Amino acid sequence: MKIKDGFVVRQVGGNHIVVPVGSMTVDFNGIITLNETAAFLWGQLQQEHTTDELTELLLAEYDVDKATAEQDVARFLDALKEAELLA
Amino acid sequence: MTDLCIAGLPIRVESADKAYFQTRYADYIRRDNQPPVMEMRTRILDELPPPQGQMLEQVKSVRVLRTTDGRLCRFGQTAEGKVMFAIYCTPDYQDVEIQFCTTWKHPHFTLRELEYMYTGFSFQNRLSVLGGGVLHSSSLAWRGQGVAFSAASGTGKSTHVGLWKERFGDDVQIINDDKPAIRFTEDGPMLCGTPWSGKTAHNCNRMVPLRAIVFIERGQQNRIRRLDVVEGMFHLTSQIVRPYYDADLGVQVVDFTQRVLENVPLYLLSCNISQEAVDTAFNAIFSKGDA
Amino acid sequence: MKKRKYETVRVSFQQLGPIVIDCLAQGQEVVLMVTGNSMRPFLRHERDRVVLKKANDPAALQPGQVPLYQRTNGWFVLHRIIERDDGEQRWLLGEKEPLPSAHVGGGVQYTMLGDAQTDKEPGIRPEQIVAVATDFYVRGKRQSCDTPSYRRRTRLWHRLLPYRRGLLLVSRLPGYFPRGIRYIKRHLKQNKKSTET
Repeated sequence: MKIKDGFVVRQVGGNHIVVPVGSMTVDFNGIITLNETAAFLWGQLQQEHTTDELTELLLAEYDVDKATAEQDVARFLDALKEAELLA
Repeated sequence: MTDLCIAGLPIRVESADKAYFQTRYADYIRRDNQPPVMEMRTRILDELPPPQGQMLEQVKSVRVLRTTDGRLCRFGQTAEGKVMFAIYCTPDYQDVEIQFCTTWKHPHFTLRELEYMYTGFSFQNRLSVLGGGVLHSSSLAWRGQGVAFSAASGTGKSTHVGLWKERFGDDVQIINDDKPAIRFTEDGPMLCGTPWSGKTAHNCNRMVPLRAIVFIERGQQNRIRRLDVVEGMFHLTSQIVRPYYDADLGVQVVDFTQRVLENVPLYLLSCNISQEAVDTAFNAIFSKGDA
Repeated sequence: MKKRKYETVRVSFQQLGPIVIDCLAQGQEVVLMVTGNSMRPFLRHERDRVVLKKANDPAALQPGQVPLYQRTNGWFVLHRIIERDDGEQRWLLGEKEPLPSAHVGGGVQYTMLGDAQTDKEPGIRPEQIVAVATDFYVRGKRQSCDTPSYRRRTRLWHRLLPYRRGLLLVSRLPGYFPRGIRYIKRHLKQNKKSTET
């Protein structure tokens, strides 16, 4: 899975803010705020990845245990699915 | 053809409703010989030629295609396939042609209003490419210092600006009652009047330094506070039109939004309709000495 | 390689205003993410979504319906109508018979209350109504607002208003709702039994 096209991420202050552009402006009328780790996952999902791959990427980059990483990846993906942001 | 200078930019327009735009543009006429940075034409025709080229996408009822000469065209048609409007733009929005069909019956607007709106959108697009933008707000200059009051329609931006005018008389000048331009120059962010000011004709051809943007909400008491970056991004994004038909241009609009966020103090004013509301805003914006 | 410090993944969504309102005005159906928790336990912040349509006759909404309306301060709010007063009669959510009107001046007025709230918001006029909910997506599943079972559940929840604060505290426990309503019902029955015996 990967994130649908039509979003730009901007870092302002310590926050990463996602804004839709083009026709996504109509489909998704909002903005999304990500913290640092969420922004990392968002970045990875610009390319096709499986859930396991995302967990691995998170483990490789951050000081975190496997169970927490798995749980956070699942929650992150749920949030994206709910908002219909996954292609 | 009319040569205009809007927000300091030389522009050439060709209107369909000439009599109407003669008054609308009166304050912006220029007589220098500078080459225009933008040209736009409006044509109202009985029959619009069907746009030809590579279909890119359909957003709601509007179709977007790339013409063979590389222009972006967005257009709408009836169920029978008769084209009602078509906007052709070069990729840099330097050259824009607006075409309306004489029989176009828009549910809310007359052709005159549509020409007014679409010329405004086109100017805004070109301005985005040039690094500026347009903020949905009622804006004024107090002794040459610009303040923009922004909010969703119907919240009372213009009413609040009216209160400033009442209070400060000639010290306050309305720059644009609905859609001022913002440009970044060597002197910092500038608030600029444009002929596109919504329902009213309250606008003037002036550029002043932009001191603050104040988002307004109605409340019982008068309170003001600075917005943090996430709140600021949210409020700005709500009040800056984002083009649904061109993602590249959309990115430039986001660039502009971020630049405003990083360079202009943003406030949230919760207020009622009173002179006390003016005090609250004025003290917060201009209290720090240098005004 | 030294790894980066980890912080729990956080994502938050904020809905923007103006475009939605334009779409609604043109009669299009609009799906909005629910923000805020004032409609718990029925709707959850950033988990559930609501399908909105323009109200054909904003003066003819009934108690139990969930409209999107604009407060005089400009904010848009999605709460439930618990009372409709047309200047002659006053209809309360869950009551079969109307009461006499409580306001003078005529015209329809609604009283609103978020499902998670206890302070009623009276005096909302039809002009302030932007749209009305037709369906919800709860945990991703679409459900209509117009089924007998949905209406029954909303009436029951409203009857429990005196206990609302306590129930909501319990419902904060993760994974509690929507099982919760059934649980509370059972609980109340048991309580009743125990007091009776």
